[in-house]
Amino acid sequence: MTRDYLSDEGLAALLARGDEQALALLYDRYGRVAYSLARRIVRDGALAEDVVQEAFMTLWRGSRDYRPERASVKAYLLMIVHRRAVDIVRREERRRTEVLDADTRTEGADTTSDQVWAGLEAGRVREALAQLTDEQRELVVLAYFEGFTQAELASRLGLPLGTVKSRTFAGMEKLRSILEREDQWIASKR
Amino acid sequence: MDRFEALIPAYALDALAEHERRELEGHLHTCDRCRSELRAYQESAASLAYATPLADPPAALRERILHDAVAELEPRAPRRGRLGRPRWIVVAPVIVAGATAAIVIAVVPGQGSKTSWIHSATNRVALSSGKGVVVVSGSRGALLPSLADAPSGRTYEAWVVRGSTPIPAGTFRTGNRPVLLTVPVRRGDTVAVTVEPAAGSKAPTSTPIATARV
Repeated sequence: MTRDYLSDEGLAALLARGDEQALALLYDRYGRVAYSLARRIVRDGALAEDVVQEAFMTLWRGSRDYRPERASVKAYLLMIVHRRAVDIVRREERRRTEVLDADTRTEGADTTSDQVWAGLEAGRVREALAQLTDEQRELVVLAYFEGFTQAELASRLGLPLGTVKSRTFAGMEKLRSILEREDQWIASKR
Repeated sequence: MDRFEALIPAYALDALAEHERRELEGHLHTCDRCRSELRAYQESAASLAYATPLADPPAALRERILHDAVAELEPRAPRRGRLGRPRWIVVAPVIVAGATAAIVIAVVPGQGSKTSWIHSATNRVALSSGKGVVVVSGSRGALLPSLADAPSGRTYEAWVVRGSTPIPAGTFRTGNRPVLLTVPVRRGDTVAVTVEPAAGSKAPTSTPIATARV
Protein backbone atom coordinates (compact mmCIF):
# COMPACT_ATOMS: atom_id res chain seq x y z
CA MET A 1 0.00 0.00 0.00
CA THR A 2 1.56 3.26 -1.02
CA ARG A 3 0.58 6.62 0.30
CA ASP A 4 3.45 8.44 -1.25
CA TYR A 5 1.07 10.53 -3.32
CA LEU A 6 -0.45 12.11 -0.22
CA SER A 7 0.34 15.71 0.63
CA ASP A 8 2.17 16.50 3.85
CA GLU A 9 -1.04 17.77 5.32
CA GLY A 10 -2.83 14.59 4.29
CA LEU A 11 -0.15 12.59 6.05
CA ALA A 12 -0.49 14.80 9.12
CA ALA A 13 -4.18 13.91 9.28
CA LEU A 14 -3.21 10.23 9.24
CA LEU A 15 -0.71 10.82 12.06
CA ALA A 16 -3.56 11.97 14.24
CA ARG A 17 -5.07 8.51 13.76
CA GLY A 18 -1.89 6.82 14.92
CA ASP A 19 -0.70 5.81 11.46
CA GLU A 20 3.02 5.16 11.75
CA GLN A 21 3.41 4.69 7.98
CA ALA A 22 2.46 8.32 7.58
CA LEU A 23 5.20 9.21 10.03
CA ALA A 24 7.65 7.08 8.05
CA LEU A 25 6.76 8.94 4.85
CA LEU A 26 7.18 12.32 6.50
CA TYR A 27 10.52 11.15 7.84
CA ASP A 28 11.55 10.10 4.34
CA ARG A 29 10.61 13.55 3.07
CA TYR A 30 12.12 15.67 5.83
CA GLY A 31 14.38 13.52 8.00
CA ARG A 32 17.44 14.36 5.96
CA VAL A 33 16.98 18.12 5.96
CA ALA A 34 15.95 18.05 9.63
CA TYR A 35 19.09 16.12 10.54
CA SER A 36 21.32 18.32 8.38
CA LEU A 37 19.91 21.48 9.91
CA ALA A 38 20.26 20.17 13.46
CA ARG A 39 23.81 18.97 12.81
CA ARG A 40 24.75 22.27 11.22
CA ILE A 41 23.63 24.10 14.35
CA VAL A 42 24.72 21.78 17.16
CA ARG A 43 27.83 20.47 15.34
CA ASP A 44 27.42 17.01 16.75
CA GLY A 45 25.87 14.01 15.03
CA ALA A 46 24.52 12.29 18.15
CA LEU A 47 22.97 15.48 19.51
CA ALA A 48 21.49 16.19 16.09
CA GLU A 49 19.87 12.75 16.11
CA ASP A 50 18.31 13.51 19.49
CA VAL A 51 16.96 16.80 18.17
CA VAL A 52 15.42 15.15 15.11
CA GLN A 53 13.94 12.33 17.15
CA GLU A 54 12.38 14.80 19.56
CA ALA A 55 10.98 16.85 16.72
CA PHE A 56 9.34 13.89 14.99
CA MET A 57 7.99 12.63 18.28
CA THR A 58 6.58 16.09 19.00
CA LEU A 59 4.88 15.99 15.61
CA TRP A 60 3.59 12.49 16.32
CA ARG A 61 2.28 13.26 19.80
CA GLY A 62 0.86 16.64 18.88
CA SER A 63 -0.64 15.61 15.56
CA ARG A 64 -4.19 15.97 16.79
CA ASP A 65 -3.49 19.58 17.74
CA TYR A 66 -1.68 20.36 14.51
CA ARG A 67 -3.38 23.18 12.62
CA PRO A 68 -2.51 23.33 8.92
CA GLU A 69 -3.62 26.95 8.69
CA ARG A 70 -0.93 27.93 11.20
CA ALA A 71 2.06 26.36 9.45
CA SER A 72 2.83 23.76 6.81
CA VAL A 73 4.06 20.44 8.16
CA LYS A 74 7.51 21.15 6.75
CA ALA A 75 7.75 24.59 8.35
CA TYR A 76 6.34 23.30 11.64
CA LEU A 77 8.76 20.41 11.83
CA LEU A 78 11.82 22.45 10.87
CA MET A 79 10.77 25.15 13.32
CA ILE A 80 10.78 22.58 16.14
CA VAL A 81 14.16 21.28 15.01
CA HIS A 82 15.60 24.78 14.77
CA ARG A 83 14.29 25.93 18.11
CA ARG A 84 15.54 22.86 19.93
CA ALA A 85 18.96 22.99 18.26
CA VAL A 86 19.34 26.67 19.04
CA ASP A 87 18.37 26.03 22.67
CA ILE A 88 21.18 23.51 22.87
CA VAL A 89 23.89 25.77 21.47
CA ARG A 90 22.78 28.66 23.60
CA ARG A 91 22.88 26.53 26.70
CA GLU A 92 26.00 24.59 26.00
CA GLU A 93 27.95 27.14 24.00
CA ARG A 94 29.06 24.34 21.75
CA ARG A 95 28.95 26.18 18.50
CA ARG A 96 32.28 27.95 18.48
CA THR A 97 34.47 25.08 19.50
CA GLU A 98 33.36 21.83 18.00
CA VAL A 99 34.23 20.53 14.59
CA LEU A 100 31.86 18.50 12.51
CA ASP A 101 32.75 14.86 12.26
CA ALA A 102 33.35 14.21 8.61
CA ASP A 103 32.15 10.64 8.41
CA THR A 104 28.71 11.28 7.03
CA ARG A 105 28.07 11.18 3.34
CA THR A 106 26.96 14.57 2.13
CA GLU A 107 25.16 15.37 -1.04
CA GLY A 108 25.86 11.99 -2.54
CA ALA A 109 23.91 10.47 -5.40
CA ASP A 110 20.42 11.89 -5.11
CA THR A 111 18.24 9.04 -6.15
CA THR A 112 14.82 9.32 -4.59
CA SER A 113 12.37 11.95 -5.74
CA ASP A 114 12.47 13.46 -2.24
CA GLN A 115 16.21 13.94 -2.56
CA VAL A 116 15.92 15.41 -6.02
CA TRP A 117 13.37 17.82 -4.69
CA ALA A 118 15.65 18.72 -1.79
CA GLY A 119 18.40 19.47 -4.29
CA LEU A 120 16.15 21.82 -6.24
CA GLU A 121 15.03 23.54 -3.05
CA ALA A 122 18.68 23.98 -2.05
CA GLY A 123 19.49 25.66 -5.35
CA ARG A 124 16.44 27.86 -5.10
CA VAL A 125 17.21 29.14 -1.62
CA ARG A 126 20.91 29.66 -2.36
CA GLU A 127 19.99 31.76 -5.37
CA ALA A 128 17.55 33.74 -3.28
CA LEU A 129 20.20 34.30 -0.60
CA ALA A 130 22.60 35.50 -3.26
CA GLN A 131 20.21 38.34 -4.06
CA LEU A 132 20.43 39.77 -0.53
CA THR A 133 23.07 42.38 0.24
CA ASP A 134 26.17 40.96 1.92
CA GLU A 135 25.18 42.62 5.19
CA GLN A 136 21.68 41.22 5.11
CA ARG A 137 22.85 37.74 4.18
CA GLU A 138 25.46 37.68 6.92
CA LEU A 139 22.88 38.48 9.59
CA VAL A 140 20.26 36.05 8.33
CA VAL A 141 22.77 33.22 8.04
CA LEU A 142 24.44 33.87 11.40
CA ALA A 143 21.09 34.06 13.14
CA TYR A 144 19.63 30.97 11.52
CA PHE A 145 22.61 28.62 11.36
CA GLU A 146 24.65 29.76 14.34
CA GLY A 147 21.74 30.45 16.66
CA PHE A 148 22.81 33.97 17.63
CA THR A 149 20.21 36.34 19.01
CA GLN A 150 20.04 39.81 17.54
CA ALA A 151 21.66 41.22 20.69
CA GLU A 152 24.54 38.72 20.37
CA LEU A 153 24.95 39.63 16.71
CA ALA A 154 25.10 43.33 17.55
CA SER A 155 27.89 42.88 20.05
CA ARG A 156 29.72 40.31 17.93
CA LEU A 157 29.67 42.44 14.80
CA GLY A 158 30.06 45.76 16.61
CA LEU A 159 26.82 47.12 15.19
CA PRO A 160 24.03 49.06 16.90
CA LEU A 161 21.15 46.73 17.81
CA GLY A 162 18.79 48.86 15.74
CA THR A 163 20.94 48.25 12.66
CA VAL A 164 20.96 44.51 13.22
CA LYS A 165 17.18 44.53 13.57
CA SER A 166 16.47 46.62 10.50
CA ARG A 167 18.93 44.68 8.31
CA THR A 168 17.56 41.34 9.45
CA PHE A 169 14.05 42.54 8.76
CA ALA A 170 14.94 43.81 5.30
CA GLY A 171 16.88 40.64 4.49
CA MET A 172 14.07 38.34 5.52
CA GLU A 173 11.47 40.44 3.76
CA LYS A 174 13.47 40.20 0.55
CA LEU A 175 14.07 36.49 0.94
CA ARG A 176 10.38 35.92 1.50
CA SER A 177 9.35 37.96 -1.51
CA ILE A 178 11.83 36.16 -3.80
CA LEU A 179 10.75 32.72 -2.62
CA GLU A 180 7.05 33.58 -2.78
CA ARG A 181 7.38 35.04 -6.25
CA GLU A 182 8.95 31.78 -7.40
CA ASP A 183 6.22 29.77 -5.70
CA GLN A 184 3.64 31.72 -7.63
CA TRP A 185 5.54 31.23 -10.85
CA ILE A 186 5.74 27.50 -10.22
CA ALA A 187 2.04 27.37 -9.34
CA SER A 188 1.12 29.22 -12.55
CA LYS A 189 3.06 26.67 -14.63
CA ARG A 190 1.20 23.71 -13.19
CA MET B 1 3.69 48.35 10.41
CA ASP B 2 3.39 48.06 14.17
CA ARG B 3 6.17 46.95 16.48
CA PHE B 4 4.89 43.40 16.60
CA GLU B 5 5.10 42.98 12.86
CA ALA B 6 8.66 44.26 13.01
CA LEU B 7 9.55 41.35 15.31
CA ILE B 8 8.11 38.58 13.15
CA PRO B 9 11.00 37.85 10.74
CA ALA B 10 13.50 37.65 13.61
CA TYR B 11 11.07 35.45 15.51
CA ALA B 12 10.97 33.05 12.57
CA LEU B 13 14.79 32.88 12.84
CA ASP B 14 14.57 32.27 16.63
CA ALA B 15 16.75 35.36 17.04
CA LEU B 16 14.65 37.53 19.34
CA ALA B 17 15.59 38.33 22.90
CA GLU B 18 13.57 36.33 25.42
CA HIS B 19 11.32 39.24 26.47
CA GLU B 20 10.54 40.15 22.86
CA ARG B 21 9.73 36.55 22.05
CA ARG B 22 7.29 36.26 24.94
CA GLU B 23 5.69 39.57 24.09
CA LEU B 24 5.14 38.57 20.47
CA GLU B 25 3.81 35.14 21.39
CA GLY B 26 1.25 36.81 23.66
CA HIS B 27 0.20 39.08 20.85
CA LEU B 28 -0.07 36.26 18.29
CA HIS B 29 -2.98 34.75 20.21
CA THR B 30 -5.11 37.73 19.37
CA CYS B 31 -3.85 38.90 15.97
CA ASP B 32 -4.81 37.05 12.79
CA ARG B 33 -2.73 39.33 10.66
CA CYS B 34 0.48 38.68 12.58
CA ARG B 35 -0.18 34.92 12.56
CA SER B 36 -0.52 35.00 8.83
CA GLU B 37 2.68 37.05 8.48
CA LEU B 38 4.44 34.58 10.73
CA ARG B 39 3.27 31.66 8.66
CA ALA B 40 4.85 33.24 5.58
CA TYR B 41 8.15 33.95 7.34
CA GLN B 42 8.29 30.47 8.81
CA GLU B 43 8.05 29.07 5.30
CA SER B 44 11.03 31.21 4.30
CA ALA B 45 12.97 30.10 7.36
CA ALA B 46 12.19 26.46 6.54
CA SER B 47 13.52 26.99 3.02
CA LEU B 48 16.75 28.33 4.52
CA ALA B 49 17.34 24.93 6.09
CA TYR B 50 17.97 23.57 2.59
CA ALA B 51 20.88 25.94 2.10
CA THR B 52 23.05 23.81 4.36
CA PRO B 53 24.79 20.81 2.76
CA LEU B 54 22.47 17.87 3.26
CA ALA B 55 23.85 14.84 5.06
CA ASP B 56 22.16 11.47 5.51
CA PRO B 57 21.21 10.66 9.08
CA PRO B 58 22.20 7.18 10.30
CA ALA B 59 19.61 4.63 9.18
CA ALA B 60 19.07 3.63 12.81
CA LEU B 61 17.50 7.02 13.51
CA ARG B 62 14.52 6.25 11.30
CA GLU B 63 14.06 2.90 12.99
CA ARG B 64 14.28 4.47 16.44
CA ILE B 65 11.70 7.13 15.67
CA LEU B 66 9.22 4.66 14.17
CA HIS B 67 9.83 2.23 16.96
CA ASP B 68 9.22 4.85 19.65
CA ALA B 69 6.15 6.11 17.82
CA VAL B 70 4.65 2.62 17.70
CA ALA B 71 5.53 2.03 21.33
CA GLU B 72 3.59 5.14 22.24
CA LEU B 73 0.54 4.14 20.27
CA GLU B 74 -1.26 2.36 23.05
CA PRO B 75 -2.39 5.32 25.13
CA ARG B 76 -3.22 7.30 21.99
CA ALA B 77 -6.33 7.15 19.90
CA PRO B 78 -6.99 3.42 19.74
CA ARG B 79 -7.08 2.09 16.22
CA ARG B 80 -9.99 -0.15 15.71
CA GLY B 81 -9.50 -3.71 14.70
CA ARG B 82 -11.90 -5.99 12.91
CA LEU B 83 -14.01 -6.35 16.02
CA GLY B 84 -14.79 -2.68 15.86
CA ARG B 85 -13.68 -1.86 19.35
CA PRO B 86 -10.37 -1.85 21.11
CA ARG B 87 -9.55 -4.86 23.21
CA TRP B 88 -7.78 -4.77 26.50
CA ILE B 89 -5.46 -7.60 27.15
CA VAL B 90 -3.82 -8.43 30.41
CA VAL B 91 -0.45 -9.96 29.95
CA ALA B 92 -0.45 -12.60 32.63
CA PRO B 93 2.25 -12.51 35.25
CA VAL B 94 5.00 -14.82 34.24
CA ILE B 95 5.76 -17.55 36.67
CA VAL B 96 9.46 -17.24 37.07
CA ALA B 97 11.17 -17.01 40.41
CA GLY B 98 10.74 -13.54 41.79
CA ALA B 99 8.81 -12.15 38.85
CA THR B 100 5.39 -10.91 39.75
CA ALA B 101 4.92 -7.99 37.42
CA ALA B 102 1.61 -8.01 35.65
CA ILE B 103 1.58 -5.62 32.78
CA VAL B 104 -1.65 -4.29 31.46
CA ILE B 105 -1.58 -2.91 28.00
CA ALA B 106 -4.25 -1.37 25.87
CA VAL B 107 -4.00 -3.18 22.63
CA VAL B 108 -5.40 -2.51 19.33
CA PRO B 109 -4.94 -5.54 17.31
CA GLY B 110 -6.12 -4.51 13.87
CA GLN B 111 -4.74 -6.19 10.82
CA GLY B 112 -1.21 -5.18 10.16
CA SER B 113 -0.64 -3.62 13.53
CA LYS B 114 3.06 -3.82 14.21
CA THR B 115 2.53 -4.59 17.85
CA SER B 116 -0.32 -7.08 17.86
CA TRP B 117 1.99 -10.08 17.77
CA ILE B 118 3.38 -9.08 21.14
CA HIS B 119 0.19 -10.08 22.82
CA SER B 120 -0.29 -13.38 21.08
CA ALA B 121 3.31 -14.51 21.43
CA THR B 122 3.63 -17.34 23.89
CA ASN B 123 7.35 -17.22 24.46
CA ARG B 124 7.72 -14.94 27.46
CA VAL B 125 10.62 -14.59 29.82
CA ALA B 126 10.68 -12.45 32.92
CA LEU B 127 13.38 -9.85 33.35
CA SER B 128 15.36 -10.12 36.57
CA SER B 129 13.91 -8.53 39.72
CA GLY B 130 10.40 -8.10 38.35
CA LYS B 131 11.51 -5.36 35.95
CA GLY B 132 9.25 -6.61 33.19
CA VAL B 133 8.95 -9.28 30.56
CA VAL B 134 10.65 -10.11 27.29
CA VAL B 135 8.38 -11.49 24.58
CA VAL B 136 9.72 -13.37 21.59
CA SER B 137 7.93 -14.48 18.45
CA GLY B 138 10.10 -15.99 15.77
CA SER B 139 13.06 -13.64 15.68
CA ARG B 140 11.09 -10.60 16.80
CA GLY B 141 11.56 -9.48 20.33
CA ALA B 142 9.78 -6.95 22.49
CA LEU B 143 10.23 -5.70 25.97
CA LEU B 144 7.32 -5.03 28.29
CA PRO B 145 9.18 -3.06 30.93
CA SER B 146 7.95 -2.42 34.41
CA LEU B 147 10.20 0.47 35.33
CA ALA B 148 9.97 4.06 36.45
CA ASP B 149 10.50 6.52 33.60
CA ALA B 150 14.16 7.12 32.78
CA PRO B 151 15.77 9.85 34.92
CA SER B 152 15.98 13.22 33.21
CA GLY B 153 18.86 13.48 30.78
CA ARG B 154 19.17 9.69 30.62
CA THR B 155 17.56 6.98 28.58
CA TYR B 156 17.00 3.28 28.95
CA GLU B 157 18.69 1.24 26.31
CA ALA B 158 17.86 -2.35 25.44
CA TRP B 159 20.59 -4.74 24.31
CA VAL B 160 20.60 -8.12 22.71
CA VAL B 161 23.68 -9.84 24.10
CA ARG B 162 24.91 -12.54 21.76
CA GLY B 163 27.87 -14.46 23.15
CA SER B 164 29.56 -11.63 24.97
CA THR B 165 28.67 -8.88 22.49
CA PRO B 166 25.91 -6.45 23.41
CA ILE B 167 24.06 -5.24 20.30
CA PRO B 168 22.09 -1.98 20.73
CA ALA B 169 18.38 -2.83 20.44
CA GLY B 170 16.70 0.52 20.95
CA THR B 171 16.33 3.28 23.52
CA PHE B 172 13.24 4.22 25.46
CA ARG B 173 12.39 6.65 28.20
CA THR B 174 8.92 5.66 29.30
CA GLY B 175 9.18 2.81 31.75
CA ASN B 176 5.86 1.06 31.32
CA ARG B 177 5.16 0.85 27.61
CA PRO B 178 6.03 -1.94 25.18
CA VAL B 179 9.29 -1.54 23.33
CA LEU B 180 10.03 -3.36 20.10
CA LEU B 181 13.62 -4.55 19.98
CA THR B 182 15.30 -3.20 16.88
CA VAL B 183 17.44 -6.28 16.29
CA PRO B 184 16.36 -9.90 15.86
CA VAL B 185 16.54 -12.16 18.89
CA ARG B 186 17.76 -15.74 18.81
CA ARG B 187 17.40 -18.54 21.30
CA GLY B 188 20.24 -18.30 23.78
CA ASP B 189 20.56 -14.51 23.52
CA THR B 190 20.27 -12.39 26.62
CA VAL B 191 18.18 -9.24 26.57
CA ALA B 192 19.51 -6.56 28.90
CA VAL B 193 18.51 -3.04 29.87
CA THR B 194 20.93 -0.31 30.95
CA VAL B 195 20.62 3.36 31.79
CA GLU B 196 22.56 5.48 29.29
CA PRO B 197 23.16 9.15 28.43
CA ALA B 198 20.20 10.71 26.61
CA ALA B 199 21.60 10.05 23.15
CA GLY B 200 21.97 6.33 23.83
CA SER B 201 25.27 4.48 23.53
CA LYS B 202 26.90 2.17 21.03
CA ALA B 203 28.09 -0.06 23.85
CA PRO B 204 26.74 -0.19 27.40
CA THR B 205 28.31 2.31 29.76
CA SER B 206 26.72 0.91 32.89
CA THR B 207 25.76 -2.38 34.50
CA PRO B 208 22.41 -3.79 33.34
CA ILE B 209 19.49 -3.07 35.65
CA ALA B 210 17.63 -6.08 34.26
CA THR B 211 18.44 -9.10 32.12
CA ALA B 212 16.60 -12.09 30.70
CA ARG B 213 17.88 -15.12 28.83
CA VAL B 214 15.65 -16.05 25.93
